[in-house]
This record gives sequence, C-alpha cells and structure tokens, in this order.
Amino acid sequence: MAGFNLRILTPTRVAFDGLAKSVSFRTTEGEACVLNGHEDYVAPLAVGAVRIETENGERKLGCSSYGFVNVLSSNVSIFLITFEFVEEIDVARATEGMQKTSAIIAEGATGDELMDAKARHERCKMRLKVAKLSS
Amino acid sequence: MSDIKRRIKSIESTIKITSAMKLVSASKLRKAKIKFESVKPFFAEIYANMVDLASRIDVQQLHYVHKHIEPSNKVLYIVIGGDRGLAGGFNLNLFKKVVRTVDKKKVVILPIGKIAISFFCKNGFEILSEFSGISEEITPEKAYHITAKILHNYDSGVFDEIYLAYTGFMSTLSQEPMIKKILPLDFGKSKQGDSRRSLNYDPAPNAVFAAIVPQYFAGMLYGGIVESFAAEQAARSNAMESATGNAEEIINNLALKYNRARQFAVTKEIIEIVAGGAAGQ
Repeated sequence: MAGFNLRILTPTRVAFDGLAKSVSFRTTEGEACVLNGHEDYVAPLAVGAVRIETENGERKLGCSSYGFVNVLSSNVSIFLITFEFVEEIDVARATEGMQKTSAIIAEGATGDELMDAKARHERCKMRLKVAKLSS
Repeated sequence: MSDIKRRIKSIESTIKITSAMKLVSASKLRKAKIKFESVKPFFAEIYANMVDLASRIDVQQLHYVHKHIEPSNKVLYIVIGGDRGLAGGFNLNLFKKVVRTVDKKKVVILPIGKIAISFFCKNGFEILSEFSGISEEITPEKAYHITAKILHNYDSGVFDEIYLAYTGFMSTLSQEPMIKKILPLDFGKSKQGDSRRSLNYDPAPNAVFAAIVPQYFAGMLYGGIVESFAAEQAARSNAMESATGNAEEIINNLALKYNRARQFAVTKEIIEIVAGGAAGQ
C-alpha cells in the first residue's frame, strides 16, 4: 500500500513530516482514520490520541490538543496548538497539572481562569491516558 | 582642549552602552531566531491552507469567509511593535506603513508593544485594547486568549475586517513591514484549479469554520509576534553596531583634533621660548 504525505505542525515545531500508511485522530465528531487516496476533507480536532502508521510499518502514538486536519489530494496536514509523541509525555508533570487544575476548578474560578483550567485539565488527562495506552 | 577631552570621554561611555546593547540584542536574537525558525512552517502553511479552504467553500453568507451582511465600516489593525526604542527604523517603518494604508476614521487599532501603544494613542487613533511586555514570552495559549476576545467582537459585527501588521524577518540584515489580511478569508478563487473537487466537511462547513478559525487566528498572531520579535532584535543589533561604529569614528576625529591642538600649543610654547631667548640676547 502506497503512503501519503503527512505533516503534523504546531506553532513550536514540525512534529512529523514524512510518508504514512494511515493516521487516525479524534475530531469533534468522533474518531476518524485517513488512508491513502482519502477524499479531500477538513475537520476540527479535539483533545485525543493520534495514531500514525508510517510507510515502513512503524506505529507511533501521540496526544493532540485542539486544531484541525486538512486532507488535500495525497497531502494530509494536521495543525495543532500542542502535540506530543507518547515518549515525550512527562507523566509527573501531567499528574501535577491535573491536581493543580482540579484545585483551581474546585476553588470556584470563573471566566478566563476557569476556561483555561478546564482546557489544561483535559489536556493533562489525555496525556496520562495516552501514556497508559502505550504501557 | 579640555572641551575635546570631555567630549571624547562622554562618547566613550556612549560606546560602552551601545556595545552592551548590541551584545544583549545579539544574544536575544539567537534565541528569537530559533523560535522563529520553528514557527515558520506552521505560520506559512496554516495561512496557505486557510486561503485554499476559503476559496473552495460554496456556502454563502459565512461571515468568516465573506463580509458581514450589515457592514459596520470599521476595520481592525493589530499592530505588533516593540517594547523598546533604539532599534533603527523598526517601529517607525511599520507604523508609517499602517498610517499610509488605513483610513483613520474607519480604523480601530490594537497595538502590541509599548512603542506601538504610545504612537497610536498620541496620534489620536481609536484603540481597542493594548498589550505590552508579551512579545518575548509569548506562547500559543496566550495568543489564543487575545484572539478569542477579538473574534468575539468580530462575530458580533463590530469589525468588518481584521488585519495583522508586523515586521517580517527576511534576514539578520533586512526586516520588512508587512500587512496580512486575517479575516474575512475572501481572497478570491483558488489558482490551483482544484476548486471544483468536492471537499468533505465534518461537521457542516459553518461549524468547521467556527472551530478552526480561532486556531488559525491564534496561530497567525503567535507567528506574527515571534517573527516581529526576531526582527526587532536584528534591527536593534544592527542599529547598535552602526551606532558603535559612528561613535568610534567621532572619537577618531576628535582625537585627531585634540592631538593637533596639543601639538599647536606645544609649538606655540617653543616659539615663545625661542622668541623670548632671541629677544634676551
């Protein structure tokens, strides 16, 4: 099976740039998978796991935050605010982040602070979940 | 003579300041360049992707792609300046370009950086809100918070268009003021000829655009701030280098003058002594 070009871009780095056989991710509507020859497609992404099967069959697991995916001909671009491969996830930091944000939410934060804490909480939770998936 | 000596001393202390500033900005530039290099692909591609997506959409009256039905006749310019001066033409070139481009009565400015804030306030522009001291430590999340508020205003029809004015980092020696249109995304039809290929939206186009425009806007603002900061450091580093060079040249000229004056005084003294001796004989 031929591969397609996959690029995962965040504002701080190009996380992945190469040929892939498949990539699956979580959109706001649910899980989706893109294979070679997929029709042109655009969807917003939610916080979730990203699974990549590279051209040589290597499987990679990562954790996405908000962003979107754009499939154009045989080019797949995924734009994300943050993205980490499972081996890059700092479990201790994510656990600490979970505790901190839970405390902020419990203290009755409002407005921006609450939104921020909720978003961070969700990201930390997903990081831990993805880290568990690989172990 | 003592006047010249005093001037030389004062210029020497100026050199100390300018060369220290050059060193500081050169080290900041190194860091800023790394940050800029890593945001460059994201910044360029997200823009190209959004332009392409917008050119293929066939839904009418989507306010992210087309103008509002009831225009407010107000345009927002986000102007990214520096927090400090002494960076050559870095700030002024950008401000001049914005002033030349906009219609003062129809524009609302959102200045970023102390110099931008004071310039646009002083010149009587309408200001939306202001941000300073954020350029060096900007993160994508912070950019997201800023853009969320702006988008809220755009959604409710306060502005018809949003532009981003920043300084492009071409190289360490060249920086160029740029203006990019952020919203609405009506850049005309795609040139790639694939606009007839159907595009699958999941969920519906309106919902897709509502979800991805905030990410795109935050990414653009973050990229613009990072690039401007790198350009500012490069501009300051160059400005301070030429200031140090000029100061050294002035010192050389003054030293020449000083030596001539000293020599003249010595010669004069010798002539006086010789003349005095001759008169005594």
